[in-house]
Amino acid sequence: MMSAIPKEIINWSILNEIVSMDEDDPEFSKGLIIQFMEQAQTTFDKMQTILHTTKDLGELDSLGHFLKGSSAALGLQRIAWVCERIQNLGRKHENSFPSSEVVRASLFGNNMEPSSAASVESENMPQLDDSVYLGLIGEALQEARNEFQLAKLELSKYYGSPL
Amino acid sequence: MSESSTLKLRPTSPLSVNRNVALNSALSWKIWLRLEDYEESINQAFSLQFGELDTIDDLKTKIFENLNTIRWSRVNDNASIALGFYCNRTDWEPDRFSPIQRLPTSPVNTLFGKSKPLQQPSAASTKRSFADNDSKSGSLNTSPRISASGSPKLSAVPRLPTARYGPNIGSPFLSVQNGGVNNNGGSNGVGSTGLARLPGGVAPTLSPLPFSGGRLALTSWSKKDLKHSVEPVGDSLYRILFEPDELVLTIYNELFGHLGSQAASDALLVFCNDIIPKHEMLPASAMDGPNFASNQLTQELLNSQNRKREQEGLRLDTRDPHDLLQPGLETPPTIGALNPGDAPPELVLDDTAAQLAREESEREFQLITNEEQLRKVSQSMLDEDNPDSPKQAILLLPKNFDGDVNFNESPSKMSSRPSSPLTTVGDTSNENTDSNINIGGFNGDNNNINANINTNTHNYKNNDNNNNSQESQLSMPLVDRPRTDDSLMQSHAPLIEKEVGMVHPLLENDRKKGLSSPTSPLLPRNPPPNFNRLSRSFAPKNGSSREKPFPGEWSATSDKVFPKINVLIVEDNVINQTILSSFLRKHKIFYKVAKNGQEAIDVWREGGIHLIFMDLQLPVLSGIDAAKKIRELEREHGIGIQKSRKTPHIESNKINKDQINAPVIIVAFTASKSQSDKKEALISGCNDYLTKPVNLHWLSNKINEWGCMQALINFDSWKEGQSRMTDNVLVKAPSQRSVKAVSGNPDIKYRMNRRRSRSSSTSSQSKISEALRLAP
Repeated sequence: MMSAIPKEIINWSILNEIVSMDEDDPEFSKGLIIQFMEQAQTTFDKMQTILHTTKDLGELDSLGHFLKGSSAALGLQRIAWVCERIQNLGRKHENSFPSSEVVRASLFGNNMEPSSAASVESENMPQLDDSVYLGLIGEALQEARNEFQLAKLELSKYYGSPL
Repeated sequence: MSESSTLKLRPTSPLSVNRNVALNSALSWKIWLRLEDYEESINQAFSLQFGELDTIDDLKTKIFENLNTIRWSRVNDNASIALGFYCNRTDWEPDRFSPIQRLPTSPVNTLFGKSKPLQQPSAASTKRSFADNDSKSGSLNTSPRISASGSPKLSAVPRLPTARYGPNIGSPFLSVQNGGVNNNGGSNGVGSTGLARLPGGVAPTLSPLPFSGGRLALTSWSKKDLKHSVEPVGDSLYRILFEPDELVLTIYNELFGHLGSQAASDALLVFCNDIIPKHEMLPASAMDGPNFASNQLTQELLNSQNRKREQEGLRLDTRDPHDLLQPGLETPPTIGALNPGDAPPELVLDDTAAQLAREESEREFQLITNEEQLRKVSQSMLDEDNPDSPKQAILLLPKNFDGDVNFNESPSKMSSRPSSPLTTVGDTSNENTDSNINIGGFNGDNNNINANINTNTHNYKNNDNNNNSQESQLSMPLVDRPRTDDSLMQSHAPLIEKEVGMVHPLLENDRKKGLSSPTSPLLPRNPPPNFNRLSRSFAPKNGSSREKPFPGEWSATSDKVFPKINVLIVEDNVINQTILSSFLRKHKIFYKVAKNGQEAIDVWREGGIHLIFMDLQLPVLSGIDAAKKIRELEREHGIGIQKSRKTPHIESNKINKDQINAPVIIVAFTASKSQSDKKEALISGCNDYLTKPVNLHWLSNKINEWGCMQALINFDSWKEGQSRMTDNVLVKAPSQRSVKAVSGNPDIKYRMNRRRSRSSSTSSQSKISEALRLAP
């Protein structure tokens, strides 16, 4: 069971909590965002490397979880959503990933049920070959990078300077 | 107080009404405005567009929208500002447009209307203090007030607010006050200047003052049919303030003619209600006089005596001089009893001080420094059985309240909040009538309040200068005599608890944030910008001791207060670590950070951790496993109710038992959707969970809940921690004197003895017993 893709790139109710801490330290939230950007890039690269080398699903799972944690904490919910997909694919709890078009469309509120045909309850989900999950993670990773760019744009707009 | 005297000024002749509204669509409907007396930025006139149906109140809102970047807009709101202009007295001679139709918009008006004869329109309708003086008791105005006390007129009309104040003259200072006051008796003469612009009679004294320009040439404006109130600023100068519900368009038409004819230099002034009357701002040199010195001396004597007595700083403004003329209440007997030897050595009698003292004597506040006095005063107010009368306001000031605070703050309290008892003395029900509130702060008597506040503050400063060497002083003037003219204390009301408000400047901010109770009567809505200037201009010579009266930020007290606990954050992601630790640091909670489950166990083992926030999916050792391990170790060591079943033999299972007296609370961070995570977390020994992403509000709730729980569980050691701190304080003062002081207090002695028997710290123990031996 895959949750719906959030429409908004940034969940401001979460990010604002962080931004509110700028009171004490004016650059706090911005610094955190920049730190996250670096972390995300590094993590994406690590995932890419694993996909091409060790193909270790467990490792991808934890990397997905790792990045999900920080992106969700910053309110970057679409990145977090994709990371959750990667995590679940790595655990083989899901066996599908919506097409790039579906992900795109969700940005504009057209939240089509992400490939409902393929999404099956995890209990009776057929265990597919690792390569299927790796392939899906590869797709998801590409989406994650796309979402990352979108978030970066949005945040640059917010801070008034390119991040 | 009084009154938002809403006057409907009937045009005496239809010809004088100028109603040529040029609805020229090419001209935008805009009105020039300028902040009166605002000095923080370049204060230029600005124009605002307005609509046909816009009222003054709408315009105020626009002003705030327009000026939302400057500090002024943050410290003011619709209720604290008013629009209007200065007007020469001659432009507003009451007899020129009698009959005045009084609109009983506020109960005050009605009240006074009943109690005051209307044949004196100026006094009855507008409460202009100076006018009162003129019309009622000319002798009051031109002679020192002390003599006024004996004036038969005053006793003849005791129920008149103005008259009531006269008797206050008991105080010796009063004799001084009018000696050199420029406003004294000036009203008669100045009225003749007949200028539309600033009257020449006042100009010399006003020249250093920040308002200049933008005055309107309005020789006959008083004939206009505008809802307004009038407030005297000086003897010959009035502030005309428009009622909030008056249409801007109407005002514009009346004042400037057709739209577009107002020049920027004719800008209407935006007043804030803490404006300090100009004539109070005279440079000290202007009032130097030998007679002031003696007064200053008296004041100092009073202060010094006061200081001896005071336990609490209670400031009270006198309501009824009759009632207040009683022993213990700063009356001449008190002064007479003063021994000159009581004068503090730091007494300084410089010219400035003298002038300040003189000004001080014009205040309308009375300082009450002990319960006895308070009881008497409140009793006297109770006796004054006048249900209609406005209520007496009492400012409760903290003990050792620094004079400077009063200087900056408490005056503002009085002047800035129309709904506070002080400013609405005339009307107890004023708070409900918005229109009154809006303008009320500016109305007639308020000016007097300001004036008196001003003098008041001068005096504080003055005292401060003289008391530099005093560590904790309540250097408030002992006597605050109302001015003879004053309406501030027109009426009395029983002193009830509701009216006792704690005053603090920074509450201001809280109020704005909606944090502090809006019902507190004395909390001002807006800090007065003027007071900054004031404090600058009267900055103490030594420049020190101008510190914030209260250490720390006041607003911090309204923040959530967290228990003193140590928190361990177990989080592998540095971003989340940073967020959590920043949050904890912000709230001054001690914390440690562990990157994985194993580190978490290691840190916990060292002891002192009360609460663990544990992410579940962690490298090396998961949060679940770490929680299990911790519970296992607790069980092994018999921590908490789970009594030890086996003794640990494995070295790696050692924990610092001295520091761990209660089971740690583990709050797991679980993925929002994973029910199994939550279940697993609770099974593994976690006490609670928070779903990720962690909401900081919930985080603080958990800290509070569990932290308080831990503080309770661990109460004894927590108490020890507190007492250890106390020990430090005690042993830090080993000098003979402090030992004496301590031993003189049976309470402290007792506590010290207890400490001696309980304290685990041998060094502090020996020091304490040594201290006790030294004590006689």
